[in-house]
Amino acid sequence: MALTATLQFGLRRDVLTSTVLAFIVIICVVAVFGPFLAGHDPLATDPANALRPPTWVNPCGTDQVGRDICTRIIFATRLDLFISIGSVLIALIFGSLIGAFAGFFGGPVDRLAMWLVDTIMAFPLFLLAMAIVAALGNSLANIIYATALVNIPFYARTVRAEIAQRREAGFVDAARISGNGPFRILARHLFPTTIPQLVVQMTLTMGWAILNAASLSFIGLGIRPPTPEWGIMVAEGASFIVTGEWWVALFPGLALVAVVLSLNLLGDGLRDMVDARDRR
Amino acid sequence: MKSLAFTVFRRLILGLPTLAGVVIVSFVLTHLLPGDPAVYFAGAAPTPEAIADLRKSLLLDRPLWEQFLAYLGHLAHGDLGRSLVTGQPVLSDLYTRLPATLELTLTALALAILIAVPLGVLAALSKGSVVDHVCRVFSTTALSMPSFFTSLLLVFVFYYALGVSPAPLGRVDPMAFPVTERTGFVVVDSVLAADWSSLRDGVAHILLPATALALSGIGPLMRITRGAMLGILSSDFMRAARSYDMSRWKVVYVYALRNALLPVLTTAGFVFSFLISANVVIEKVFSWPGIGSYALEALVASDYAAVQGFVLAVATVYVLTNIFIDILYGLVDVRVRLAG
Amino acid sequence: MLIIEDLTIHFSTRRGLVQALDRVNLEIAPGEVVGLVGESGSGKSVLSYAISGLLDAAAQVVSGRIQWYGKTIEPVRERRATRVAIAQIFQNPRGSLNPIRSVGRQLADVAGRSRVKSLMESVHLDPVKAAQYPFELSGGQCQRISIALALGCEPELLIADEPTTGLDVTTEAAVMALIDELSASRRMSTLLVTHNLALAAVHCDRILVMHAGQIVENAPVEILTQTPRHPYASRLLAATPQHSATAADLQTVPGNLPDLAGPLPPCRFATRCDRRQPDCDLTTPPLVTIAPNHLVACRHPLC
Repeated sequence: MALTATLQFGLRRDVLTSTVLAFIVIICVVAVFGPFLAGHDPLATDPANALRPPTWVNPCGTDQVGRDICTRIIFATRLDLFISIGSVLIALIFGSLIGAFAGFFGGPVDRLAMWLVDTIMAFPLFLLAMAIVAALGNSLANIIYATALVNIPFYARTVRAEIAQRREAGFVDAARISGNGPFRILARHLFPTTIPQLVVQMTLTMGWAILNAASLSFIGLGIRPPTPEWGIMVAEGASFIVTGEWWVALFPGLALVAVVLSLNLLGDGLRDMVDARDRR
Repeated sequence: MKSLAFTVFRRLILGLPTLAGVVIVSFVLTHLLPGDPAVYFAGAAPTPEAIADLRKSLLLDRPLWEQFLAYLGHLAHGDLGRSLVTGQPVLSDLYTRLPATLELTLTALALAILIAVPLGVLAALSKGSVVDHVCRVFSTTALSMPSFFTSLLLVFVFYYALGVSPAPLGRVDPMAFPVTERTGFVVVDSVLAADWSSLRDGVAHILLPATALALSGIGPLMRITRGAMLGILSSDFMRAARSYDMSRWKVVYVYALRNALLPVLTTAGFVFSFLISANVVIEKVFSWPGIGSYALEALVASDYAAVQGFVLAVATVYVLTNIFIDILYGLVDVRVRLAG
Repeated sequence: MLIIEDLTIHFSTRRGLVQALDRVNLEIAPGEVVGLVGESGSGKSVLSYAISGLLDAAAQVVSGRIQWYGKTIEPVRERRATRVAIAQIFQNPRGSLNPIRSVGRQLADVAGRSRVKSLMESVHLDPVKAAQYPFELSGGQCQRISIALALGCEPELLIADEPTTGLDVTTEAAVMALIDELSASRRMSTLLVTHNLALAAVHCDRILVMHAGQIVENAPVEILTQTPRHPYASRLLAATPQHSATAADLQTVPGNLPDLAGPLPPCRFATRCDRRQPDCDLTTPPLVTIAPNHLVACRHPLC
């Protein structure tokens, strides 16, 4: 398919993006298999060993109740990736539907859809996520729904822009003349053209979703302890910053930044490829 | 100027449906908050009758749409209800705490622009070089770091390790004599009162949180500046300008950058609202007495009125900011201004 | 004054190496009006930018040079040691002006505030318009401002790159008349770059025909418009409306310009030429003088 060809061509030329992609693959492997290979139990407390700096046994040190931080980071990888993939998929599905209908049918459908999107975007998004989670409760599902909801506008707008742009194009008219109904045209002919931009949007949103979930957990409105999650771990480590036990907050934070940075760099690289292709 | 007034009016009208949506959403959300306000409000050891009475007076036994209409009525009178946590009218709570947040957000925005725009210009001028790549990686990294992490890093380095910054405990030294309040902005008030020690104190306290907040905004601002500059630099009129042998300074700054600043302006508006979001986390870490920490306490305590008031206030600020940016854009971009 | 010898310029782009100019030879004497004619994509703009120094860093001079009064100059302005008195006006008049700056201030930027009035008068524009912005002016007026800006540089050579494309016929005539008048009064040489052979025929002393980065014929205007010797030049002439009695007589030049990024035959017109012979494919036909002031790059020119 044309997209994979572009990807392969682009990846071979752009070293940074290929490296980042490799890193992300490694992270996914860690997320899936890590928990089975980790040496310690993420929830096992060991007060005698509390707040130990990094050693061979505990490469990232131990936290205030003696849990191994490294193991907890590995388990948290799985959780945070799950949240981000889940919310991105939901946002993708609903956002694309809204955007596709808005872009294709125009008129009152478009205005209604854009009113919805604008209303969501009228709130600073993190605050909206906060409010939703506070209202509905701290469960994992609610966090995913809240994150998905605040991301829907981006997908809706991207899809709407791409489809509205091509609505009057030749190939659409040709499809219409050969008897395809509007939904078929949307699904088979127009929507596939939005996929490159959507892929870019997805990688960028995944990074943002992780930041969102971690920030929510940090302020106490997300995942609850003792479940290992990067945001909570940093929150727990925050009070130890001023007493010098820097590793409790640093390592989970670094893991978080590394993953989000990779996703953002990947998204940038993909965007460059997609834009270059469009320009040609 | 008649057209300016008309433009403002027109934009406000256009913003009404969105504002209506915001009011509805904030009402619905807060009514989903767990907990029973009547119980909270009733105080210690309430009797069932007291709770039932309270419920009646708070209209909690009426259908939702009646409550909504009552809410709208209150809004029209500027009554945002009373906070359960502080016992004060929400409006006055917000009013007292808003300056702290605004001072922080505006300082952060200014810092972000001062860093991001020159970097973006530098990256665009040296496109493809190592400098360009470093700038891009820097902005992406700033974008990838959550504000809570950057705050903690900054506190660790500058407070714990270097001892340069004061403890992250708010806007001013709690032991110091407070400056006479005129605008609510510590920095401005200190200057107005010529109170230099308060100024030093205020600046020292605002520096770390503002920097942490600014880092979140540098990413998008730098990218947009770079992108806009690249687009302008390759445009026809820039080629023509090159051919006239004008000084490099004039060509880059007066011709290219001024044109490139237009999209940067719109991005600044977007970044501002994003910073208001990120504020909540920063206010928590630095114990900053702004509306962000106010909202957090309210959310945790299911303080209906306070949360509603906060959400409404912030969304209104956001809508107004967008309108302001639109108008500013219209003034700056001659084409829009003269076309009416 | 301006001598270009065997100039060959390549660009490395995403698509590959674009061989934009191939051994271009050109001379302009003071006071001459020279026309550079060719299809879109023939390389005429690249050549004009090279002379003005407006190419970007990706341009590589593979061989040859541009000489201005005997000194070699770079095709990239920023690399030039001294200022060279060459100015250019461009194809998209409004697009060549800074959209958010009044035209008067733009003139002041180039020539100083004291000269704004006189420059505007010399292009027959009311100086009152100095406070206006490009979008408030018509295409013709924008082009006049561009000419004023170019004049502000006190050029000895004015390069006009498709100055009238996109303008209506009356405006075109007015702008060309202005250029003629200025060339004469300031003893300024002009290089008129255009795809419109008829336009060049009216205004130029001499015409160079360009095809796919190569100069194929260089002749005085009377000779080129009556007896062109290069097959391409003759076909271009046949394609002009003035030359044909009826629309049915209009002939196009067959084929398309070759892709300058791909493999190229020595004579780049060969694939479109009906006079092609085996020896055309051996080496590039050199530009030879077949009559005083008349050069042709063809092994089998028309008689």
